[in-house]
Amino acid sequence: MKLENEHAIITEDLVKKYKNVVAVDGISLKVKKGEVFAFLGPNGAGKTTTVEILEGVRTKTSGKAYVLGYDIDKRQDLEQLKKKIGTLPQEFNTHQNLTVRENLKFWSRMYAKNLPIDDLIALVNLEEKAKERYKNLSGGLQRRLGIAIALVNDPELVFLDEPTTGLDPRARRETWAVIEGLKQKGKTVFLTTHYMEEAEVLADTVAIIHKGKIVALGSPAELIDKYGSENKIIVRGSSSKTRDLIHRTLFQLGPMETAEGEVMISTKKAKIAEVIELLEKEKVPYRDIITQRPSLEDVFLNLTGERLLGERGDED
Amino acid sequence: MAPQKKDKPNKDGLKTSITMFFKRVFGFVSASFIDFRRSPLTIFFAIAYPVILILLFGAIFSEHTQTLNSFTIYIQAEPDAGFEIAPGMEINLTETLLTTLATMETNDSEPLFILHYIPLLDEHTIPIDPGKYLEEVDGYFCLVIPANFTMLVYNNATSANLTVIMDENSQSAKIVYNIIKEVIYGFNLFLAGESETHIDMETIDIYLEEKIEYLDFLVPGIIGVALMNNAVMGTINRYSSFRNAGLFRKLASTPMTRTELVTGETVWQGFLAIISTAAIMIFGWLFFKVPFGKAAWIIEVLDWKMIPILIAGVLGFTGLGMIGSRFVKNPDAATAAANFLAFPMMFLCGAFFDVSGIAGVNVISKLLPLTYIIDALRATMITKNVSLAWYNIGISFAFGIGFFIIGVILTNIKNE
Amino acid sequence: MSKRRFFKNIYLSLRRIWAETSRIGLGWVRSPAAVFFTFIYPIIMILLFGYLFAGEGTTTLYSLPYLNEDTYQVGNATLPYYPAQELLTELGLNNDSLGEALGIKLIPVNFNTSEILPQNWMKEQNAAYLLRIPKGWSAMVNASLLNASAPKALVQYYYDPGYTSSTEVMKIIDNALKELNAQLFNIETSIGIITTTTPEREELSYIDFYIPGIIMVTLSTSGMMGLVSTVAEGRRNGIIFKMSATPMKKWEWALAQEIWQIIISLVIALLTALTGVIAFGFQLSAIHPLHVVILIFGSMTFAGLALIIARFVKSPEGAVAATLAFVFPQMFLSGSIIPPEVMPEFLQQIARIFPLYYIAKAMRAAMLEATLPKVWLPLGITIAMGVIFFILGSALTIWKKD
Repeated sequence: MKLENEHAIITEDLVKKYKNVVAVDGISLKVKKGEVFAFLGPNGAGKTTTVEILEGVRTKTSGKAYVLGYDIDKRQDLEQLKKKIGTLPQEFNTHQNLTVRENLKFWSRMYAKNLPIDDLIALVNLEEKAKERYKNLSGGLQRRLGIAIALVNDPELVFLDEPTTGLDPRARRETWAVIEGLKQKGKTVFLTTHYMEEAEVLADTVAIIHKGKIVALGSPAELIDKYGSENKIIVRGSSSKTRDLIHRTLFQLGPMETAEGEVMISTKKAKIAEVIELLEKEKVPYRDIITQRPSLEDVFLNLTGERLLGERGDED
Repeated sequence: MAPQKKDKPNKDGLKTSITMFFKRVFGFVSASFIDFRRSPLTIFFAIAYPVILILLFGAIFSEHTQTLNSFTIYIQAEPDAGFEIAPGMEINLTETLLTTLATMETNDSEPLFILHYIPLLDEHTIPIDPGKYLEEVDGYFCLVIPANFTMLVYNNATSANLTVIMDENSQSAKIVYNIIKEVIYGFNLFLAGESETHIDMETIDIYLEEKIEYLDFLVPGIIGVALMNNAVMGTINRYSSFRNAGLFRKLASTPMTRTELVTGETVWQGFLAIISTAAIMIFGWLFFKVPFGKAAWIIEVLDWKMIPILIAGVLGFTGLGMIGSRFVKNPDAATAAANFLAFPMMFLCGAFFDVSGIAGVNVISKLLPLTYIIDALRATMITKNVSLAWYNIGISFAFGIGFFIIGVILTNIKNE
Repeated sequence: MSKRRFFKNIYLSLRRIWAETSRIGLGWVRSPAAVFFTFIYPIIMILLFGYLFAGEGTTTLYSLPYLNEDTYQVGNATLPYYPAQELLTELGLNNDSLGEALGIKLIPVNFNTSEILPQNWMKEQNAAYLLRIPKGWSAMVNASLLNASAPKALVQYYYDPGYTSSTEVMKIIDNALKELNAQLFNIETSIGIITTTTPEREELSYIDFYIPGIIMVTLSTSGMMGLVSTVAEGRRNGIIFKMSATPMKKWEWALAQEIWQIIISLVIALLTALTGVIAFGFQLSAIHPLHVVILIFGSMTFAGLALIIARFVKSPEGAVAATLAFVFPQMFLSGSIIPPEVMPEFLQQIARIFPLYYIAKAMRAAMLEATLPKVWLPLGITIAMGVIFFILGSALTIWKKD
């Protein structure tokens, strides 16, 4: 029984309560078919709980959720739904002593509809490791196998729960490429992450989640526009003397901040070309010019007053 | 990466470094204690498992419960017309025998035998085979008395035979057989005109004053088993999970030295040993001593020599655990492997029953340190045999220190 | 639902079950430690319990030190008897085969009892028992031969009650004394005892009854431990929940686990039986086809129980503890290792709460034609337990996170 065709996921006031904690506190969202939807938030914000409820793996306290038009409260609907989704759980694991190919075969047998295993291996570039046991793969390769496993049934909707956590930058970029490939194929991807860069690069729509609530929703550009800070142009001099010189020269462009050896211009209007022109004209010596545009990190900071990655910074 | 020997004491630092030593050891022990309360497996092996053992084996083999048993036996007796040994003095041995059996009592004045009679003929007047009957009713012992048994006894030059049909696989049948043999021996003596045997045996319990019961034998055995389980399993499990969690690496980057780590672990195992010993003694006492009016037992068995034995046991088994943890990397496999090794050990070392008479096993048991710990505990707590206690304490210490040193050498936190 | 759709669903269901069962098998084959433990555990169990409890494959031989203080000389003119010597001969002195049959080995010892008491000597030597034939014993025996009212001639048996075997040795000496008494005093055996074994058991020895029980003990122990920790581990690493996001149903998953348990049970049973054949001369002919049925439903029972335990005990190490707390008492109380009839009555009642009690009963009943009619009740209970515990186990499996 399908309710609506335009959206892959609709939730209404989803709540998950534990004894003392409210993990998910009234989440309502809509995910369009064919888009990459990113759930962005720090650890413990309720991302995984929400995803698991939508996958039918976790019970919820209240609220409604329709995934691919199926009502997850109805057993029959849930059974149908499970045939059409693919999942990559957080801290993904599969059978240690089975090879890449055997693991794919194993998970394929869970479904009536299967993609050819060779195609899946090719999709995640694991051809050379097909006969390697899971436990012998590096973290990045394990995660890539996880994504392939999420696709064994050619799902309409793929849930990827923190697909790149713990990966090195190179492995992360490779994973992004795979996810972009999914989008090309018209799959709906529901992604959770605590890397703002990941959301910016991949997502069509981003929901920022904080303490179980969605605090902002929109495309990355919209969010930055709405909640981000202004663009900044930073000009660095080599000493405090040149800094003052730079400051005087650029004064006409707008309000400025100075820090040790550098001058920061926060403006929406100032163009880098203008800055360079002025500096060249006055023959002011400078070391470099950097432009800094606001990111989702700033959005998060502005919305919650907290940093996304916490004080420790990127733990990986 | 580890800062090594960086706090080698200089003159004024000596006091500080001793304080630090205790501070770190204490830190380790208190962390272990918190971990203990949260670890069901450690609690299980320290308290629940030994308590299960003491209750289980105490109940199965205890004298207090054993004497309650009666035996169900089957009798098929043909008619006996009796025999007149003197005018007016008729004797009927079948009757006498059955009366004797029926009036025998257990220590609790319950009938020793519950007699069931097998009819001679079935409803179709076909003779009933007692052997088959016995199997059908699932009995284990049947006594068949021939027709006119008294006459046979008095008239025959050769002996008149009773037939016993028994299930030789049944322990009870063996016990019953021995009792019946004894009864028949008495009959034979009587018939020979002898009132009693001329030669006999005087039995002397060399620990008569201590009045040893099965539980007294069992308690030291289970203390030994608990020591082994706690220390071997605990150490293997903890060390391998430390390694998994990268805790060794972390400890190596702090000023904590190997000596401090090992001391901490040993002190902690010592605590566990005391907890287990107390649990075993209290439960054994509550269930098998207090109800029988022997409340003083728990004081009587205490002896200061238990302390060196526990120390020797903790050293040896913690050392063994440290050695084991070098070879087992995964904590789950470690538990399985340690349990798998510890299980036969309990039986082979005579924790539950004496294995000194079982060929092969008695040799193996002499090779296992647990045997000496248990023997030392028995001599100390129960038989109060001081020389035997020290002999076994000595061997336990030799094992203990040996394993401990090897264990410490193999625990190389820096290379983890 | 159309007929085709119905069969398609059955096919898909079987395919999922097979995928899970076969991957467990493949994982097992590839884990050398798992294979090693699966094989070595039953072998250790059968050897341990076979030697210790069934007393098979080894002769029990207690070393009995004896102190003969009786210096009575052979060839005394008036009386030719030397009873001390005869008693020792009865106990197998210089006759190893008799000694082995009796179960003791005599060891002569010598010390002066006026300097050290036998008790103290034993404590020093750590001796378990001592037979002492006191000075003048033979003379006393001979005096009895002349005069029926002469005092009893006593030998002394010192023992350490710490050794549970001390009563067995005492019985052996007591028997020898009775024999000697009968011989010396010409006590005619007016009443003899002929013993026969129950007819159908003639062919089978103790070990033949013992091994099927041990097989079930091993299966229940290793099977439950294995499955409980597998489930706990699967929950910890998340694979179970990943499965629950696929069309695999809870009961399919549980059934797959059970099937694997049954397969591995058959392997263990075969291995244990073969070890029994080699080590103790177990007769394979003692095996009845019904044993296979009992084995299958028995392992279903334990797999179901394991799933139930895993439901309530979440952490892998807590699961190990809970399982041990169950299997250990069951092992000893269910009558497979220690015969139920030697246990006190109340323990025999407690034993009835353990599934293994009924399974072991069914195993034994199936061994003899005479007792075969009795197999139906415990067999029925075994089958019922297998089915009920399976259904409960799969119903109680946690398939969704809370």
